[in-house]
Amino acid sequence: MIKYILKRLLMMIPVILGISFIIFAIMDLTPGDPAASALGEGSSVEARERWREERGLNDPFFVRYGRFILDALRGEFPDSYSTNEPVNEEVLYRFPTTLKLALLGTALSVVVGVSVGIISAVKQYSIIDSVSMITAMLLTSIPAFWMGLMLILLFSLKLNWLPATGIDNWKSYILPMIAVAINTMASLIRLTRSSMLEVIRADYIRTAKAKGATQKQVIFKHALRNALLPVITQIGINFGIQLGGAIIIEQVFAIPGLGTLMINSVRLKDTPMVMMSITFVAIAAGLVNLVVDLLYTLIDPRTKSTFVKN
Amino acid sequence: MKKGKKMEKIFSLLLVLTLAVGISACGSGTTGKEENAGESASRDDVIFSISSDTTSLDPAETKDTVSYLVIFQMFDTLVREEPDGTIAPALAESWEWNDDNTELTLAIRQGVKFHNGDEMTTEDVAYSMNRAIASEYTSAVTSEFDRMEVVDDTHVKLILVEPYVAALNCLCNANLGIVSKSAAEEAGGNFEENPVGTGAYKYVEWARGERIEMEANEDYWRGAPSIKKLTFKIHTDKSTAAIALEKGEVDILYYPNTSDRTNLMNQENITWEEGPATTLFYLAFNCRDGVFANEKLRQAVCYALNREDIVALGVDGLGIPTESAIPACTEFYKDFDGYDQDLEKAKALLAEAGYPDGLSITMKTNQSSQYSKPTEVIQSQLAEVGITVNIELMERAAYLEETQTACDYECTFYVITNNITDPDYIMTRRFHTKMEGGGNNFTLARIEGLDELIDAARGEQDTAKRQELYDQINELIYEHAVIDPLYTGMTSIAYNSSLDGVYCSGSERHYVSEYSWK
Repeated sequence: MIKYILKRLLMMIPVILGISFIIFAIMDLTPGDPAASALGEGSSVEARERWREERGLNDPFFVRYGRFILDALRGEFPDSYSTNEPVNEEVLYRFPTTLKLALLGTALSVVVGVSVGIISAVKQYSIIDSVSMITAMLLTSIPAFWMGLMLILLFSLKLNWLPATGIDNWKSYILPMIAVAINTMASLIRLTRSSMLEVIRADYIRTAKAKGATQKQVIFKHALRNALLPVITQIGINFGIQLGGAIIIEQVFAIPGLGTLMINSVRLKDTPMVMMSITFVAIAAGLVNLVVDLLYTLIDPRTKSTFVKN
Repeated sequence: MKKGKKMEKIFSLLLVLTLAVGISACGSGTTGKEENAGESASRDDVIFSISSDTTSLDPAETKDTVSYLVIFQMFDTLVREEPDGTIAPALAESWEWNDDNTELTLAIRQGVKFHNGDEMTTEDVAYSMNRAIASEYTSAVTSEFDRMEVVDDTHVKLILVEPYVAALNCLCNANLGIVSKSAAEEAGGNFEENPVGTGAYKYVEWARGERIEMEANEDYWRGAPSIKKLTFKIHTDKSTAAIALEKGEVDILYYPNTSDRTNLMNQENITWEEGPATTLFYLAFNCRDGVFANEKLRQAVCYALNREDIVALGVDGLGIPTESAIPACTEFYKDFDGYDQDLEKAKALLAEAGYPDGLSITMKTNQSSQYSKPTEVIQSQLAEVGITVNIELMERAAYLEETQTACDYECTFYVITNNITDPDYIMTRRFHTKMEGGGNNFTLARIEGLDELIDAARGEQDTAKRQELYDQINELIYEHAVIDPLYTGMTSIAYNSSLDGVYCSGSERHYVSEYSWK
């Protein structure tokens, strides 16, 4: 098992390298001069040239890329083009906020999504089922940033229950959390419901019922475990989506997280910052997926065998 | 049985995870203070909303208006621009030019204290100036400065590269704020995080991307400010910032969205002010390469345009039509009679230029609606005289590189922003042949006599003569249709009505030390 974890971690390395190369190439190929962004439109040609020389931007592509990777492996990170501070400081400072938001969103979408899905499946064709299905469909179609603005208008402006912006106290996390969770919550409702329905029709459920298991036992002990398998995979994927979605939500709620940093850095063509932030997000997503895969073995012992080489 | 226990384990794990995250969310939070939207009489703090973080708290390393706004609260300059556009003494009490306008000697105010308690000396002033001159970020305002020397304990001398009367206007710029020499030398590269100036507010904290906190400098040489605590909050989304203003979470909204204009204007507790900015929106022609090397064609296009319609339809009326190549809010600006709409003349000139049946042109434009909408209006106006315009929308960085750096365009609609209230900055940068390319002069026009006029105006001390020179320059630009000035942009500010002392400034000068709660 440990071997499997190590193998997975090692496999992440070429993935991260590949991502970094693609991002570096994209940043390089897109038009726009980072010197002009950093020094302003009024700056002189000489000043911009000096700025570029100082940062080795006139070297060939592979030299620059190689330098970035080798320095990163040594733990030396370049300075951001806009703040002139090492990029890792800023990213490490901002990342926890985004991570918190994504985790909260995931937690909310899981708790609500899975519960409603189970109830819908168990009480199929009832009013609850129809209402949840329609709600789920609506929630999937609503763009998260619009939802965020609507939430602010209602709960913050009209009702004055919650703050509109920033992260001053725990109350400020509630609205962003809901906005982040909306879309994935909907997909989880539907997935859980259909997965449960499929499982409920299986033979072993009939056997359990015949053996005299109560409704509760049937649902929680037998059906849910099997139904949750595809759902857990989806949760892992959702976390990656949530990390990305948090970027947009951060803009709406003025939350100083990694998302706003990334967007600004792309606009300013601040390549070091973009590389660092995206690498971070990629590593986070990769680790979460690893955890999800491991979680699988806890739920379904049959999958353990695929992880252990005989 | 075993399986059941495992399920319980998973659920308890999830529960613990959720709880842990929830608790950490409670524990975080920066101030934990409730926003006080209540009685203004008891307040002595101001929360200012800005749409981007300041790039640096070091005056010599910033170059955008938001950073300037923040810097002006913590640092003072030698002279200051007043609301009516005049230049008033600040850290310099008086000044004198030498005979050929190449040296400016300034008398420095005595008894001014830095935030760390040190007294400001002429050494600090010269150090700050030379430091700014050496910085790459300040070339827009320091390109004509050679160096500053200490004359004695009370005087400094600024030595220029060539005669340049606009030097005083340059000295108003935030880039030339005076810093403490000892603090800057001690901090080295970290000065931007430990700024020490003479301004009305002292640096407290900078949470990047979130807020900048300052407290009043009780020993401020203009007198202790009535607002004791100043916080700049960063809201990248201006709609959210507008809501925050309505709720009282912030007190001032810097440069609000025009889409929030009607809504905010209708709020009782919010004041919206707008006025002309130091920006000129114009149509630029590539006068050297391509179809518009033809002067008659340029003139034809100018005659086809209707400024009032462009303003009304392109920017919802938030612009002031102008016909002068010098922006409003700049010295030596005055009403000028340029090209008025005359469709018959336009068609006649088109024929004379060799296009009696019209032609097709391409207009590259920045995809932001601030530029793309007026471009569409121009497109429809030109269609009426037989010119078909193909609009090419481009992302900002790409647009700037192609049109302004590489000069690969036919005609384009863009803006000039004046960093200082003197016209020379624009005239030299945008029209002088020595500034061709590199993002400065991208019209590439070769007009006989224009360079000489611009050079003469730069060094002319006599204001009447200088006005005449700029009038002649305007005449030349108009005659040869190098650009077609369209309208002056507008700036706005929205704030809590109980806050006194806030005004809309064309050059974005906002001094919180002058604010107080009613």
